[in-house]
Amino acid sequence: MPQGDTNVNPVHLDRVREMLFASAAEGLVLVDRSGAIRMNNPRLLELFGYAEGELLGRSIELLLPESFRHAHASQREGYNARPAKRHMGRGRELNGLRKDGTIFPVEVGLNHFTVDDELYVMALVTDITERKSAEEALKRNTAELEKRVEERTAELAKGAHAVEIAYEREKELHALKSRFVSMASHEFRTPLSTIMGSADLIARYTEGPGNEKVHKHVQRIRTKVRDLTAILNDFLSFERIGQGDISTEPEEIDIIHLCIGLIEELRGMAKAGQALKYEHTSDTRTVVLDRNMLVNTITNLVTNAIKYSPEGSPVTLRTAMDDGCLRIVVIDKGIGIPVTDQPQLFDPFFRAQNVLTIQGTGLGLHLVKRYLDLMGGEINYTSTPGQGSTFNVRIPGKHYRT
Amino acid sequence: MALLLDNHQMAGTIETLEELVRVLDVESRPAGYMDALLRLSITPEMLAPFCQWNTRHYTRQCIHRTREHELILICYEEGQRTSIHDYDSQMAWIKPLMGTVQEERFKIATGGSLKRHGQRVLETGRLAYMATKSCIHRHSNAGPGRAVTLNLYARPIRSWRVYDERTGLASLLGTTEAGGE
Ligand SMILES: [Fe+2]
Repeated sequence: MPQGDTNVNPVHLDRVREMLFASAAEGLVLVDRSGAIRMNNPRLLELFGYAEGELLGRSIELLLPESFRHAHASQREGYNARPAKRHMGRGRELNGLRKDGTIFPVEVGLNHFTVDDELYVMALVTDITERKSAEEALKRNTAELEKRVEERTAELAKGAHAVEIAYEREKELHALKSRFVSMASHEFRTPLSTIMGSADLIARYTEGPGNEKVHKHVQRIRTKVRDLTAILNDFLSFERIGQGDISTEPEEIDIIHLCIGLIEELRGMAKAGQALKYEHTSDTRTVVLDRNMLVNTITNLVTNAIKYSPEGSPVTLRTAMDDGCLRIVVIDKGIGIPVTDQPQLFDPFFRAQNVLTIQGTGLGLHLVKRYLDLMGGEINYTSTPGQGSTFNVRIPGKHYRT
Repeated sequence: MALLLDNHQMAGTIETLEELVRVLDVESRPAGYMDALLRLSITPEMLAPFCQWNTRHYTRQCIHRTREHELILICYEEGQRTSIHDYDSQMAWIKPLMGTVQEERFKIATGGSLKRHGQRVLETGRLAYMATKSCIHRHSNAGPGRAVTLNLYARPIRSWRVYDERTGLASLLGTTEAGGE
């Protein structure tokens, strides 16, 4: 402890005390055992709206709202019996009453001391109007926030339910759509096949000179029926693959036989002057694969080659067994694939810019890719716009995954 | 070269396709093939289990194949026919087992279009021979009713070329026949 403290002038210290008392930010009030105000500082007068000397000798209860006065008087007696340094009104709201009758929130700290056997209680009064209103605002904000959180939660719950309903509905619609597409495709195919058969017969029965117009129209019927059948087949395949409704039944296939059959079927799609050429270039000619997937793969590639080549432009299909893998090459001298369209070529329903006027679903190459994925095969191509495309397929013949 | 051979009566008629296959496997000379096919006489009942029919297109089924030859059964519904085609096989024998089939021959004329230069009708039971290398042809069911032919190729076909029946293989420039209105 520094020794200097004890040497301060006592008169000087009195003035410091006075200054502290007079300039304190809190109201100070000194009350005797009877509750009479014996001393107060200017800040207290300012807080409660009284003039200098106006409070001296008056009861402390004067500074309390009417409703608290009675209780306060008895609490004060209790305090006098067992005085302690503490905050007043812990856990309760305390209010002061101004001379003009207005009420304001306060915080009160209590202390006691005894002078010449007389007990005095000193109260330190702080106006907490601002803090209170800040607290109120905070409370209001919190309440508001809680309300909004509640509302939002309710909305989300409602939303989640709606999403669930929408999802179920979507599933139902999808199933319905699938059933419809399958049913429609099946139901359309039979009459289309009859139309085609009849068109073939008309062509046969009207052979010979003088019937060119009949043949021209028969040819149109055939072309359109084939287009429509191809579209239906694409939709059916797409649906089946999408539903996972594809069973793989690997079997030994004679590649040459299969391809000649396909070329013979697909010739009806060929344009005027378009020759279809098939060749097998290896000694081995059999492979173990799912026939349906292989047929779909080759059919789609050759159909595209025909469709996207001009009249008189040949299409070549080449097959070979190479190191246990079936290799398929389809070459055309057609319009080719624009470089900018190449990255999306295998996307479903994608159609390159230069084929928009040519009928097609945009499913063909997507289906090829899906079938090849199922067969563990791969596909790549080279294409030059205006000069043609070459598609290369490689499928492992024995290894199979479903 | 095209030959149409009479189905002469001879001892040892072959009545089933299985029997034919056995004979062909020990007979790899053209004369042997021809002899076996001439001896083949099969009833529609015996044939039926081997036939496959498709309302959209004729069907081809391989009955038997070795390195030397292959035996294909071809089923035509009424009005159906093959494409105009050729292939790399050297020799072919064609025997209608049911119905009547028309055979047409084509060649590419100057200017690139196809010209028909011959045709013949093959009745049930008759045997026709074709030197097939680069021989452009078409077979059609001459109807009425279904038709079935048994074709023997030596050696087996490995390449097949389909020509456009309207214009032929070559360039279309100068022709006006193509599609459209
Ligand atoms: Fe032929």
